[in-house]
Amino acid sequence: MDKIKLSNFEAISSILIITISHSILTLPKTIISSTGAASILNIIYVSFIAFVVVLLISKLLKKFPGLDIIDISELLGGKVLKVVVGVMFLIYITFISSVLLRTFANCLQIVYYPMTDLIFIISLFIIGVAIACHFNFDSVFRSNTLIIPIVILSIIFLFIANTKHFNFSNIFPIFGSGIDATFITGASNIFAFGGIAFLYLLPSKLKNSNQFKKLSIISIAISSVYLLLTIASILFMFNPMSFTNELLPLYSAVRYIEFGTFFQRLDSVFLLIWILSFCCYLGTAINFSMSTFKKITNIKNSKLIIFPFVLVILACSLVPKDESITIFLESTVYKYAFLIFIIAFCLLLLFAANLKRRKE
Amino acid sequence: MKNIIKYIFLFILIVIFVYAFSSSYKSQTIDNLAYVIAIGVDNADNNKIKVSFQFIENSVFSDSGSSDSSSTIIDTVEASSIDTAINLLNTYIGKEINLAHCKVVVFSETVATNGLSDHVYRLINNSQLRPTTNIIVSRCDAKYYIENSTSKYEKVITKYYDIFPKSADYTGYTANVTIGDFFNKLNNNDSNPVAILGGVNTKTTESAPQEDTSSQNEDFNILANESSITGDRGTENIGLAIFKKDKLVGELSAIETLCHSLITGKTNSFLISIPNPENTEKNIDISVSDVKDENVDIDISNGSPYVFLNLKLEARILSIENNKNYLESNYLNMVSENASKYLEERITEYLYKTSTELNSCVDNFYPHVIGKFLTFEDWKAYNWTSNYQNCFFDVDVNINIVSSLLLTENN
Amino acid sequence: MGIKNFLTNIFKYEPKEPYDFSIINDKNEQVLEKDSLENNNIYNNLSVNLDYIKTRYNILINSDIILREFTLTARGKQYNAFILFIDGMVDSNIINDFVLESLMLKNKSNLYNGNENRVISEAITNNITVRKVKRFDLVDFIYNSLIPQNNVKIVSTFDEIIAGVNSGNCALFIDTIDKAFNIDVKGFKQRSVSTPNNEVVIKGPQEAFVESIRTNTSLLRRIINNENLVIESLNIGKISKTYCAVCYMHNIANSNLVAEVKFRLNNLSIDSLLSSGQLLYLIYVNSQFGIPQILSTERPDKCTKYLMQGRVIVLVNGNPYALIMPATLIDFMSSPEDTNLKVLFGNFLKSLRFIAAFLTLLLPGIYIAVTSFHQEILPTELLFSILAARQFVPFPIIFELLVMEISFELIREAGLRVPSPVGPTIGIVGALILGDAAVNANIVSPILIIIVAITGIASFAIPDFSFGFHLRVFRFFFIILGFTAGFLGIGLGIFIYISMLCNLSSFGVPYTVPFAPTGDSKKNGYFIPPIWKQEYRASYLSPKKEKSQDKVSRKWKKDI
Repeated sequence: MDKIKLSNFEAISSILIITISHSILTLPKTIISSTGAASILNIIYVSFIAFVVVLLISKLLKKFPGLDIIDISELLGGKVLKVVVGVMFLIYITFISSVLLRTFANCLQIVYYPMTDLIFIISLFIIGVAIACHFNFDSVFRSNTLIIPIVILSIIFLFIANTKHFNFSNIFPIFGSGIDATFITGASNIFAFGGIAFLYLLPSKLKNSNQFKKLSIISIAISSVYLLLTIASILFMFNPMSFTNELLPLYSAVRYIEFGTFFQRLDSVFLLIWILSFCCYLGTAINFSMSTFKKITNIKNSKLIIFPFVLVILACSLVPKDESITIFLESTVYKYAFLIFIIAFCLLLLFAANLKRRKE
Repeated sequence: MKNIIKYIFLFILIVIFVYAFSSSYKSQTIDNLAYVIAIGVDNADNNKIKVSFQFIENSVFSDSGSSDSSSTIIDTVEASSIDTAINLLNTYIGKEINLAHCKVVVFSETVATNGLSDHVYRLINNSQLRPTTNIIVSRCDAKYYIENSTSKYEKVITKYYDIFPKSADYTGYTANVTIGDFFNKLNNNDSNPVAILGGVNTKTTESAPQEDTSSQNEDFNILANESSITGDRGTENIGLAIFKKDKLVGELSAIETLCHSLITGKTNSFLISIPNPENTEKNIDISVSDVKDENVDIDISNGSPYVFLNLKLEARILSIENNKNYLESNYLNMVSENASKYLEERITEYLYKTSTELNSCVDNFYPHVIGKFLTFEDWKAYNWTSNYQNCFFDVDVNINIVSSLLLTENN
Repeated sequence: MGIKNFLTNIFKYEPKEPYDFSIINDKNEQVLEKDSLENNNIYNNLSVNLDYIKTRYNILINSDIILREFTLTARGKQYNAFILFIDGMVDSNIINDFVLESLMLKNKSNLYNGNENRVISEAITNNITVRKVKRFDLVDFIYNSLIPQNNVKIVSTFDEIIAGVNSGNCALFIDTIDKAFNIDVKGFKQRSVSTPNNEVVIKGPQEAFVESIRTNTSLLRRIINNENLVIESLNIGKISKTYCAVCYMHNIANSNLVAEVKFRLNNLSIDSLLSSGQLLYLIYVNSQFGIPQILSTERPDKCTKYLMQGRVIVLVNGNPYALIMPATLIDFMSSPEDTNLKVLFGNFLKSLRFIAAFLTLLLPGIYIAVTSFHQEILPTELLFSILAARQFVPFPIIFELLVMEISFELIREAGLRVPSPVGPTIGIVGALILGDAAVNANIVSPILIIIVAITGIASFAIPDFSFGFHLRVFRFFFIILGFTAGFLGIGLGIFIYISMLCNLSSFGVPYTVPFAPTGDSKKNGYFIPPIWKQEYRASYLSPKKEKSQDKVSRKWKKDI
């Protein structure tokens, strides 16, 4: 399964897909409601931090060419640490996948399938993705590279088509909810770059791992541009001061698009594209967790555990009782899980491994 | 054996999913839905509202459809809210009502005066209704308005609903206001929503008492239902309804709407009549084809805002008189001076009307001043809305008359 | 125990090991270029010549190159000699009667043993006889006396003789002389080559393969005209021993790829092979979902185009279709017409075909999804026309759609099977009875007829028949998905479909190159640049020769 390695473009798109699928959901709302009119400033600032973090990661990983964080933790603390880190990654990926899936399915239910039970919408996703994952390891990554350009184009289209509704002065007052909110607490918005989590797992899958630094920087650059477009189109359309909480901010923005009297109401086309990107995201997440699982258990054929794994995601996504919990999980818990686990813990781990390597 | 089990499993799975989604399918399939094209909301007794729904007769689209009879169906329900009204009507017509193709929402003046927020929130919350639906405040009953809105130019009324707001682009007498805009403005503490002002022309519908309201000698100082148009369709949309928050507080006449559209940049070309500088009895019609520059600058002095408005327009003369050379710069300057002065007066009048009389800022001025504040707290502390009535306006209009159209000289 | 076995049989899941083959780009492999052979002149030693020719023509593996060694008799002396020609391009009767017979068999002329030296003129002055003597020349003797052929040339370089052989001549090498004879023996005895019936182009050659494999190989030889074309033969089928030929360019095609093709062909344990269609399925990695992974064509010009790119062609005796492998998605969407047209038109046609594929696959599914779940996307007037059209139709849309799609397929199938004189009747019955009458009887709505018709027309715009077929079958899946869950179903279907395409590989070449995995296809993508910009062969085939033309191919432009 790991025989086939990822090319650069596939790796970049697998990192991008997380930011993209998250931004379809409540990500823009979370950012805008925390920083108000200063969101664009905040995104630029946060992208800068993300760049620093990624540079740090690639510098730390440089000593271990071709090894991902699971291998490194084995070097550092033996089998125990390897299993601990692997399980933590598994939990993290399962958690965000199921939360995002739940939110997305919720929105679909509201918009198109009012009479259908949530479990069927979610399991339809689950089955589709499970089938796709049963193909070769790289087929999901390859389809990422086909679908992501479409998604990015659709966002650019959205931005351009909605320009006439834009109110560019919405970026004022320039510091929005205050300087603190923008630059100090706002720094936590780095969780928008969820793809950093996959960066740790990526090196062992790359065709040419010496290009890790280059491709991680490219992927962060593209996702920051993408985020900027998304946030800008929402910020300019809806006044941040009275930002009414909308379930799918991008969807609300899409509903305003019209060209003449014929091309109106294009929202279902956008939803179709987003469903595609969401499937890609799930496929990528499952593939990553599968290879992690394979590493910590030495299982021979990881395709065996696809079905148990997707069932776990299905079960987890059905746990939240109502939407307030899902939104809380998605915007708050996810944020702190990302900050504590991905940024703090994993970086510390890498530091420790580097120190150990130096001593040796 | 394994394969058989696999196929049986697959088959069961498909059946389950078809069954699971079939309830959504049944409720959403094209055959089981009734598509509303217009909603009208009127006041009724006991705190209730009377909601009228306009549907299209299917026969319009088949060959045998007769064009002379009214092709729309109007059903009216009395209920406590729009949603309950829809629910009630569902039982009556046996199909589920779908708002996805609703083109206009009409509120009567009385409903608007009582406040629209409840209705608008409900409609926006509904995933079917588009935010691009136009919102109209009717000077008569909403039902009466809908009944009278028929179109002889198109066989289908939806075409008319689609294109009438576009006329605002070249007349400026009304504006293309959608319920999404309305909602966004309503939610914004610093701006107030407007809506299209509609009415039923008193001259067309003879049943209505015909009182001569056209005491003004100008063509544009009119409101909906006051125009001198006689035609087949009763309805007309002229002017704007001004809200303060969700309540109707005033109406703008055609020329005031034009001023509003100019300031907010909604119109690019329009026609106005200005007093003739040489002959006060006569008017000159000029057609403004291009808004070169609109510049709003707001200063805050002693707590009250000071608005500088600078407009640069380009226009051509339409009315041709004898013995005039339209290439002579002196004359053009004279006309342009006159026109600028005229428009300046109009705009200033209009602005003071919104600030002192109606106390409702609908012109989206706050973006020009919000940049002077650094954070939300500062901005909130300033309280723009209450300060708006202390506003001073300094309007500077500069119309550059290029020439006339095809004829340049007439001796 | 039985129960346990039964249960394990049902529930035990053992994922199959994927068959893994990928083309390795071996940069070290040196291509024996013609330029590197320093000596081009024919040697006077026959065995050296023989070796040279064997290397040059890959005689050991090439099946249709015939090298006949024999002993030649001239003036009673015997010389070793051999003739070389390509089977299928020569008239073997001519060779037998007028080359071999006159050279090999002892007869008057070759047994004639005259003077060693021929006296041309003699003059006697002062008792001194001055003789102008021409020394005996074997070349002249053979040329003048032994080959009763009208068109024979004596050549002294290998290039000339090989060019002759490639064009259907016969080469005669004789020991002790450093010249060779280029004897014209061109001729075909097979039935005449007809125009292609199923892959029609407007601008392009109009000849098609026939049933005889020898004719087919000679068609390829005649177009390619190069000795590097290797045509290997093998027999498939334990009983039928069907004669097959594997053709590739020795100096272009990746040897890994060639070896893989031969490996698969040699390891087929079947009784009989009757057609190339059967062979197609026998050498797929996985034939699931019926996505074709090998191109089959009846056009020699298409084959040669792919040969020159470094692909492998397999011909089966008794079948006029050649198999081209590996084939990728874009190959199924391109027609031989594309390169014959101007770039702009060719690419326009290609984009049209892309739209056609999209419509074939998705239009009915999207129609049912939109009418069942997403009516808001329809423009209002269109919505009301659909509603009005449907108001007397008693069936649900899914039923209506399936009925029409299936009857369309029926008409198509019946039109194919019906004897040609009755053919038009089917069209009339199909169009009138099913189209018009069904609408009049309010069984289907007119809008639906339009949908089905567009889908049908679009499916015929796909150049490759089997790929069009695949799309037509798959649209039924999308109809069901669209009916089940609207755009959610369609979206999932597209995702699975794309993953499936990305999963496939045809002889080690990913099916979706150059889109995914993205690689520098060196201008061999879906849209083609002008011919003078196609400097490289497709890199995904890892050909031995990457460049197909110079950086500046239009040298005349540079020289000015």
